[in-house]
Amino acid sequence: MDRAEDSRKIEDLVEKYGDDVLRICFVYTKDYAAAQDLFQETFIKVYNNLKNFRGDSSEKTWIIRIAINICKDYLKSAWIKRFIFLDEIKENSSTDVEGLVIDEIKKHEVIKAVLNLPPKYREVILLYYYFDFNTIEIAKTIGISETAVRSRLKRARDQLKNIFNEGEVVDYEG
Amino acid sequence: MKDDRKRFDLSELDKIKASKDLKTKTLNRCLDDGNKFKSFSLSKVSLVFAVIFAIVLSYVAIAVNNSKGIKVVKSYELKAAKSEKDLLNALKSVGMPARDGVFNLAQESAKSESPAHSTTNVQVEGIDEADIIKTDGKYIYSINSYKNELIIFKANDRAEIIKRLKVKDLYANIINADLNNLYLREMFIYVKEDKKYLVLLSGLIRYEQGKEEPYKKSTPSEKVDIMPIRWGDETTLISIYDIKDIDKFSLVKQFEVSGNILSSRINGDNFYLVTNKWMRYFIQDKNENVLPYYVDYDKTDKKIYIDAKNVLYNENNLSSNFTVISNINLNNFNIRMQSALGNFYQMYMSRENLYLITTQTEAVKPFEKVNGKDAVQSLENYKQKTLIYKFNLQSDVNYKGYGEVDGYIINQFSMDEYEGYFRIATTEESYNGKSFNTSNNVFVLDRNLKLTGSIRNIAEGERIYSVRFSNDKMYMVTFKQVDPLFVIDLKNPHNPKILGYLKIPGYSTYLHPLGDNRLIGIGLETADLEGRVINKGIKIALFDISELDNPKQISKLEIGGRGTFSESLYNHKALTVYKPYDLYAFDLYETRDDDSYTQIFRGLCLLRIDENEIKLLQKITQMDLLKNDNAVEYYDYGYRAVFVDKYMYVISNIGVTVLDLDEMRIIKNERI
Repeated sequence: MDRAEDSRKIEDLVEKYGDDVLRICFVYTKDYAAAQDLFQETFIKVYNNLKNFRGDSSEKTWIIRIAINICKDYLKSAWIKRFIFLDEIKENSSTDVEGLVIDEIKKHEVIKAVLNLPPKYREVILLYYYFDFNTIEIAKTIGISETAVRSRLKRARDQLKNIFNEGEVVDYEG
Repeated sequence: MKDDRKRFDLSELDKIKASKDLKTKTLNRCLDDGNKFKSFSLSKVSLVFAVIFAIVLSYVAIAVNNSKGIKVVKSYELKAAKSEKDLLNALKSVGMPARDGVFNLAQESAKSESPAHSTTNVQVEGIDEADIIKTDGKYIYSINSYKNELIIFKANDRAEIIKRLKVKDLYANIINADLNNLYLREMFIYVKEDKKYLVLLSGLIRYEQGKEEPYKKSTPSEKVDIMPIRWGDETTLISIYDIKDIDKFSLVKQFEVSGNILSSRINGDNFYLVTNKWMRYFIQDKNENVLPYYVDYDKTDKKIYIDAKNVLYNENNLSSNFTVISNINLNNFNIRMQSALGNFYQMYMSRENLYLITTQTEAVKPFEKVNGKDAVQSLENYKQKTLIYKFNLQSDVNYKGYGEVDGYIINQFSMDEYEGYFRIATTEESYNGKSFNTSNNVFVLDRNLKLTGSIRNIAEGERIYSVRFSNDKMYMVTFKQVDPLFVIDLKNPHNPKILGYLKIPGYSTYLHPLGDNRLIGIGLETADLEGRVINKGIKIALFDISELDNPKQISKLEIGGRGTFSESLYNHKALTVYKPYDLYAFDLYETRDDDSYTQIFRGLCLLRIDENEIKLLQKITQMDLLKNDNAVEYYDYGYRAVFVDKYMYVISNIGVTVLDLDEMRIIKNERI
């Protein structure tokens, strides 16, 4: 049965990329409840588009791109949150353990700094440093030019200067 | 880029893990929603998302309609719209007929008497491709994308700047647009007899008042830093400047055409530009004409819309995008416009023909029904096809026909025409219900794009990374773990054969022929990391292909560590070749070879490659020009080289460097 195959496939994808998708959604929204909602939206979209997956990128890049677009749509229309998620917040709210973990992460200095960046810098930093994408992959994923990626990375790093300085990054321009 | 991924540690995020509950809930929602194709998103916010997904939805709707019932054989033949009404009900057209033009057959450009100099590295000899840097042997024309300026240098040992043209200088005649939204893109130099033109292409976005992002006003004043999205009409300006006497640099002709640049060529006396124009129908005025148009600035600044009869379409392959082919005869400046409705994303041009490429996902099995409704379809039931549309360039751009092959292509180098036959290399993906598999194909099609011969299932499990055709041979690199270089004989179009292959680590993303017996590969070195293949630095390889059944790697050069990058990996025009000195130059962003991603060099790399070996001659940087000026580091990119006589000129967004090739000595290095 095709349906069975599809459901097996989506199960596999949720298992494989679920954590990463949730991390992306969290970094974009800074809100764990919203992140959990967007996580679901991402995989519903993935599921509905399984047949459209063209294989011109890796599975992972494809799913990350979908997650990013869902997050951006969400941010663009932030008022939706109040309208839509209100009734779901209760059932979605994290368990105590999860809540503690998130609180702890939010206190982490590097994470805090990154979360305080404007979204367009946050995303390049996340993709570059966490997902290990190169600038071309980032350009393809978020749909801007590679040079724009480079300049955003640079500006993001400028904003994160304090952290970099503490890390004693080698500055070849000495 | 100065960074150190290890020191900037985001691993704290690892602690975020999707709970079992969340996963189960998501899967349930997927399967619930699954029967409905349209459920792209939250049903509750579908109103908002409808705007965003309008294009996707219409596309999917078409796919669904087509697949109903059992229809395996489908035609994607284009036909001209019979009438405006016929084109699309949604298109309200008041098009005016495009002007007729007289077109000459392609002719050789006259040779100029300037000193030896490099030219843009193009795919097909004799057909020029636009680039950000050009030289005619006397002057160097460079687009500075950071400053949005055209800078003209004298090609002498001092490389003096003789002109620095800003947008407001170049486009003084455009009064009805905001020049802040104009970006210099690429250019050509066209020389014929006593004529010498600079053909400059720029992108312009004409934002219209009241056409802001639809829901922008609803965004609350939270500290969310989003650029409001504005919708504008995107057009391309084609400006032709007389550069015969550089002191009298002057505009001779200017057109504006709909859409964003896909690619452009100068073939003989004809300039061709292919643009893509999206319909923004979710904010389109009901009375607005959505057809592509052009403006002839000499005559009037009125928009002249394409005649609907010059728009081709096929109901099986509709898209909300017009691909526009503009053709300007550089003798008489007549313009012709032809358009096709569809999302064409690659093009290839031979001397006689233009090929436009699009892809189509097609159902290969009948749809199953569950309780009378269409069941959710598995990926197994679909395959991806590449559709090839051929336009003849003899007297006009005339649609000739279409052909189709399985799989998808990587870039313009995947295609070639030779003695009337069109050859194309594709990668095909299939899903057997458990895993994805790939295989690769080479197809030979005749003048009417009917298949004459093919080789299928080459290198199963791998994908094509680069292809180069050379007359009746082709070279192809596929990759998964190691890089096989295939040598394929296409002499008999009915029976293509694999002659030989070579397996080496790493892969090439660009192949460049050197004489008849050598092939240069530019790509990445790879390494095995606990079973995963990871990219390392850049690798330049020299292959001996004199024995076709036994290709050999005779020399190689590795540069940098993980994260090392060059634009030439993906853009052939970023590589400059200078035959008189056997020199090859490309931009380089080099990282330390210790997996730290720490950048140690940014600039240009100069190699000498002859029949026997690859030699690194120089690495030229302008980083030192930025001392005490950290703020500008991020626009230190766009390194390109041109060669004139015995000098190499390295021009980036920040500086110009002149290298004396006989002495291998830098004689000038300056901020611009």
